[in-house]
Amino acid sequence: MSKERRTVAGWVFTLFGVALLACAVTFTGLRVAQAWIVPSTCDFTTGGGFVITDDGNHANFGLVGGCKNGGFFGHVNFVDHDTSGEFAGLHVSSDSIDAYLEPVAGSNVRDICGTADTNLFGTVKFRARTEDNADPNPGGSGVDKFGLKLTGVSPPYTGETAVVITTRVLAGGDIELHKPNPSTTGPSTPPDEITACGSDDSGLGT
Amino acid sequence: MRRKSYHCLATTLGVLMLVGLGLASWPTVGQSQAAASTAVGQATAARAVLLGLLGTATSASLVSTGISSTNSESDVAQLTGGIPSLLTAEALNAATYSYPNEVDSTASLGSLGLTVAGISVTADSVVAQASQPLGAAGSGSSYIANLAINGVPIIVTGSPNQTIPVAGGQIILNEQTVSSSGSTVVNAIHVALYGVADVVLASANASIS
Repeated sequence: MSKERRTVAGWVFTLFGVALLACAVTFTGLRVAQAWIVPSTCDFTTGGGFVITDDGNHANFGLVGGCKNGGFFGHVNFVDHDTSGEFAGLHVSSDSIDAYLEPVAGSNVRDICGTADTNLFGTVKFRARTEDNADPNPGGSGVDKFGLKLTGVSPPYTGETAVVITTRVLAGGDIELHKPNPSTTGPSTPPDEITACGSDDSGLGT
Repeated sequence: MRRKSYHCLATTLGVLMLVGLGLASWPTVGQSQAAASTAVGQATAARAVLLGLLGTATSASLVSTGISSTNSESDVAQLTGGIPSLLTAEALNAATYSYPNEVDSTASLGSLGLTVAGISVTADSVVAQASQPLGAAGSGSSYIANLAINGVPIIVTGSPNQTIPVAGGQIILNEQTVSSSGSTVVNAIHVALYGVADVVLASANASIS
């Protein structure tokens, strides 16, 4: 086989492989991992409110997260009012913010990641998802979204992941994605998503 | 033919000069606004002043922070908190931040329970936001979810300064003070009981001039 023919054959095989992969993704619903990145022109998010848990109880949160002077800043607090189940009475209080990520440029979704103390699972890595959709009504329900995922870093929960709240609309409160200012610069070396957040965003939802 | 060329050249040069003059006088972004000389932001999740019989006053605040310059930021938070015999709350949150030409503040709390002088106020979520641009009118907003006074649900309109009379005073929702001097104050809930107590829940203050 001549060199030209081998090259053409290689291209054909490559195209066939790409087409096969596309079909697999389309027909099997296979999830392609999405790269979350620090916003290129970094900004910050503030929010406070509550969501209704899967068991119908309130879960309160308050948060600030974003870029500042070449790093990250903020805090995330969460109080779950479930009375049964593995997250009953869960308290989450952040110690550090280790990443602030968006899925694609121009999105109104941000993930605030970091390390937190909990009353049930020891120290954890957390991933709090925020989505600022519009100014809510006077009560604040129904538009902005919040979600929370934890990954254990303390025995016996090391490496275990749990989606505490799949991303859902607020029952009250507000989330605001703020425009950048000259001090909202991120780190020169972006953080590793898994290291900062504890895990990827699978199961967290949108 | 030659005269026509000269005429065309002169016209072209004239147009170019006019365009150049126009561009030179065109205000560029940022040049049209003066720099801010003062920028102050303050955010407080809860603040209370209790008045005594002899005119004494005891004050307390929960989760409060402030800034005093442009391009600045400060935030504080508390998982749960309260003022003994007065109020309890969760996920208390306060943040204030500034730009070269704007100051914004926000404060929030959840699961509010307040009892003072026989009046109880509960709400699932309370948020206040204030924004003050340099040289322009400020704005603010409040979000109060499932408010009840003495157990009676209150419909929150969202309009500024919604006032609800109570025994011995009043409760103001989304209290807004926007001054012409570049200051905006938003108190999501202000409980004013004359001679007894003054309690503000979720207060956001932004000023720049």
